[in-house]
Amino acid sequence: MEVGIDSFASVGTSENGETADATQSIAELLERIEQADRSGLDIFGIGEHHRHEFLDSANAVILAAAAARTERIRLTSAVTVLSAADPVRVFQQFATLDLISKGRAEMVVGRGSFTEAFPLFGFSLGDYDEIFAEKLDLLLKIRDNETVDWSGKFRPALENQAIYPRPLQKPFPIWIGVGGTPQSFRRAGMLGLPLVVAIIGGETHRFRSLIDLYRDAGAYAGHAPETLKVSLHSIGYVADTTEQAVEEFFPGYAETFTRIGRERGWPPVTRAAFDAQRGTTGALLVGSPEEVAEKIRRHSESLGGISRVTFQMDNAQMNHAQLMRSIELIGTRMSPLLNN
Amino acid sequence: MNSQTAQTTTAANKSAIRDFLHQMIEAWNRGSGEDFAAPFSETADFIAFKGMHLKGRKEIAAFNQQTFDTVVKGTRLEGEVNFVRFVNSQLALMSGVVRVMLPGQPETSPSRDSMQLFVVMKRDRDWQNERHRRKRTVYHFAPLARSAARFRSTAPFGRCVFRTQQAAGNQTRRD
Repeated sequence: MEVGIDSFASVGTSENGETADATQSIAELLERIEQADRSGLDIFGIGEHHRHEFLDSANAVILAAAAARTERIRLTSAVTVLSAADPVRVFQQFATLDLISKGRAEMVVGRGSFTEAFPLFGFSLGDYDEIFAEKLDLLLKIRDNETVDWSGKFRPALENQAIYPRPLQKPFPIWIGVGGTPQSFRRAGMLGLPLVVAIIGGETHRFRSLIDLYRDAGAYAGHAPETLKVSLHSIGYVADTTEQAVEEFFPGYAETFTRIGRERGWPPVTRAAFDAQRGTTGALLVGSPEEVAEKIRRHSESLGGISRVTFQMDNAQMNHAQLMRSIELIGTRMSPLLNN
Repeated sequence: MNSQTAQTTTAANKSAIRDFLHQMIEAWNRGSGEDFAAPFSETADFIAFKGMHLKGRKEIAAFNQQTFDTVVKGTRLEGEVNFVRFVNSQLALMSGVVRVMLPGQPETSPSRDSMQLFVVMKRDRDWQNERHRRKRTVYHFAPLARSAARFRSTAPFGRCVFRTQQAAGNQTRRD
């Protein structure tokens, strides 16, 4: 199973608890990507948000800087909010990233779980799904054809337009990032695209019916089972011991998700709720390398087999040193345990 | 039967048989498993996706209703008949191509076309669909019919899988 890290390029926290400046935060993020590369991790993803606490609105730029500093690790968006973007421009950026990284780029595209990109780029939330479906259609057409004829509702038509550069990888890997909407699972399956499932709360095994829907839709549309890959994206943090991981992770996690909860109508995070999420079937991947490896193995079994797992860990106000150590542990201890 | 009468009969038979695919497409787009299964006989064989073997109209209706409500919910089906060929006066083959349109998808690639092959038999005075198979995965419907034509499947289709390119190529062979 491939193992990786996803980051939203959070504005960092120094060891004395103060907020770092943006320059330092970006520099430290790039160091963490290098650390992941050195530690043997398979993939590093950068999200896309347009909010003050995240520095990832131009994720392809961050990934390009990372590509120049790394040798082996694959680099991806996590996710590209395709609905608010021009598929032509997005493809050009990631095709260029693929060339810079010598074939290590990927893209995860989704509708986005935050909504700020829609007013920012002049789109209506009322078109939330329709606009994504149309732009995904165009993106795939561009990926699979150097010259494109296309017309749709939300973007000017393309008539015999060639789109460059072409990526090194053929086909360029495009995953669909989904939350819990059946239509998204069905669409990914019908299109035969690999799936990234974001499970950031609740019990992971409860997503099995949606993943079955994805696989059934894929089989129905005639796609080979091996093309219908599932990746699990969950919040996680690994320290030398479970006690240390919990002690370091809980305070920042509680603060961040209580704040986000105020926007989304979730209740404040309690320690009891956190402990439940950390339990056998809960979504949080927080603990020692041994405990987390075992938990991922259980999750994989409950979901019918996953091919990749990624940790989202930098929105719990952990400092850079803690994140560096966690990445090292995930790469050098957790991942070998998981795969042996 | 003189030649003109024979030609008229053949054309009418072809038309009746071609209607089966259109009926199934319309049923898909209404999300009606019952209507989808209506052309199938009581003993039809239907090999669904993932190799599942369904027997008879009721099973075909129930399975497809579940599929319409889940796996392909919100999709539309388009398609056309490629050809109808008579093996003899009581037995015919119908080939068609269908494609699933996702919500918000302006068009679909020809590489996603799915070939359908039906075996139809004339029983009493009506045509019945003997068998139906689909390329790509081993997904076959086994149509049969009532009303204008009545289909009945006598045996499951084998695991013959048509390649996409073949399906696309067959599109030029229209009646």
